[in-house]
Amino acid sequence: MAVNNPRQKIYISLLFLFIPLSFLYSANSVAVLHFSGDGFSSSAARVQSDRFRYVLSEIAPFNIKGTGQSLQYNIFNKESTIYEKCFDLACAVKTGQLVDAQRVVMGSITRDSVQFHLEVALVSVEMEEILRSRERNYSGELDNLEAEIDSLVLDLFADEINPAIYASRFLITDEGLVPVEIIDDDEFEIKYVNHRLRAMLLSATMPGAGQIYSERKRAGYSFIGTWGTLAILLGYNYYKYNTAKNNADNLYSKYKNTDEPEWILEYRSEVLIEEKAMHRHNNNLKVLRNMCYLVWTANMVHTWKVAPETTIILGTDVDDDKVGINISIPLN
Amino acid sequence: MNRYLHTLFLVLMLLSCETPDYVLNNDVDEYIQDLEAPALFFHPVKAEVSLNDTAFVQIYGLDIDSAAGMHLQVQYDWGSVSLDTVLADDFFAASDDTLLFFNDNDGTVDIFLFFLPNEVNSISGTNALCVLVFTTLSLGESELKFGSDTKVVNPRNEKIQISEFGKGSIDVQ
Repeated sequence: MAVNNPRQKIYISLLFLFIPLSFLYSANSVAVLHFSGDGFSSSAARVQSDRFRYVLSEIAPFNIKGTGQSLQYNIFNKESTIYEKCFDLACAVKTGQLVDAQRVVMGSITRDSVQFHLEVALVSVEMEEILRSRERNYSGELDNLEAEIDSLVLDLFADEINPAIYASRFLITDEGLVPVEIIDDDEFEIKYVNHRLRAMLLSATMPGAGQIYSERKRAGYSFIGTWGTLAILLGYNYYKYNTAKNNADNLYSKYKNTDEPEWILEYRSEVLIEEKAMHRHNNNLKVLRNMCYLVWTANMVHTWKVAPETTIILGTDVDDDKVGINISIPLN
Repeated sequence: MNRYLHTLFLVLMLLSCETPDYVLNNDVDEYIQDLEAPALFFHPVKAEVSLNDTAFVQIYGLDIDSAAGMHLQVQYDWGSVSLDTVLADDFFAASDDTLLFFNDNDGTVDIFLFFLPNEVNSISGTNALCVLVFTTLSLGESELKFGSDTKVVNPRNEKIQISEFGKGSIDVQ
């Protein structure tokens, strides 16, 4: 099919230009998975993996795929346990394929009584092989563990580190290489996003919203549907209750003000009928209210379970308000 | 977070309605509820009128089933009040014409009511049978009650059992 329109030709040319560029972008990317912890809390291991990712993003000349929300959610949706506890080759390769990374860093931190054992490995997603791995033992306070993490970054990526960036970001001290304190650097931001709190608040306001926020859309829509159905039933029963109450009030007023026996008897029976309807619908309202309690509570518990934990986002141009944005940190 | 949860909980707690209680205590109704249906009774039970005035007292049938004719015998204090006339009321209104005869004899009035059949040949329910119109002659309370010959029949001229006969009075003040 020939393309004669010049504008179409420009679009097609741009398309062919962007396709290889996007491949180039993903081909030079490294995903740093959360480290697994043994004798070490998952949160603490995550902090160290965030540190690893941060330092790597500062000194390595390639795209670091990190804890961006959409990446994390996508992985959560598919095989969250793999992502959380990933420290084997097959898992790392699979995760790397999921996040479209060329290489994957996986790590583990083991703590016995006084010593930390750090182990990281660089995995080629394409070759499905461990390219290299590094180990390190550290005895001391947890505070200084970050320095060991920094050293591991240097060890694992020594051959690939951009010398210029490397020189600007690390100082040679008596204790060896020490990363320059760059936390306060204007171009970098650290943001703590409490996704669980956000999801809980959303779910408290509108059941199901927190699940949708947490990318559990099917469950979210189910809760919203259930809540909506309950709301419709509540509305219907309230309408019927209100109608019966208005009728009963009207008839009761007539009943009180008449003295003709035939009308008194008629109003009496109608008041009783409307009163019965009113009680029936009010009982329905109570049952529905209790169901609302149950659904709301189940919704909150479910939200708590599925909501992602606090995420630390490091990097430039961080926009954590956009749910689902893909956070990656290109250095160039 | 807790503040939000507490607020929401309170809102949900308020999602139930206060159901009003209707106290069915109309005086006439309380009197009727005490009657054992089917019954005949006077309305008003106690007619309060002035001396030399006119008292209208209705006779009601309560939950009468398939009535086609009636003989209502009413006894009153002859001398205290005098009967002016008896008028047919709504009970047999479905009839083309209600036949009513009455015979007043020194404090006892015999009233005969007949339903003239058209599409139906009897009437059921609660309604006013007739109106007694009295003129008050002296002060005090005079009693109204049904005589022993009172009876209600169905289209086959079979007697309908009346469980209770109410009493009434005319209080001349």
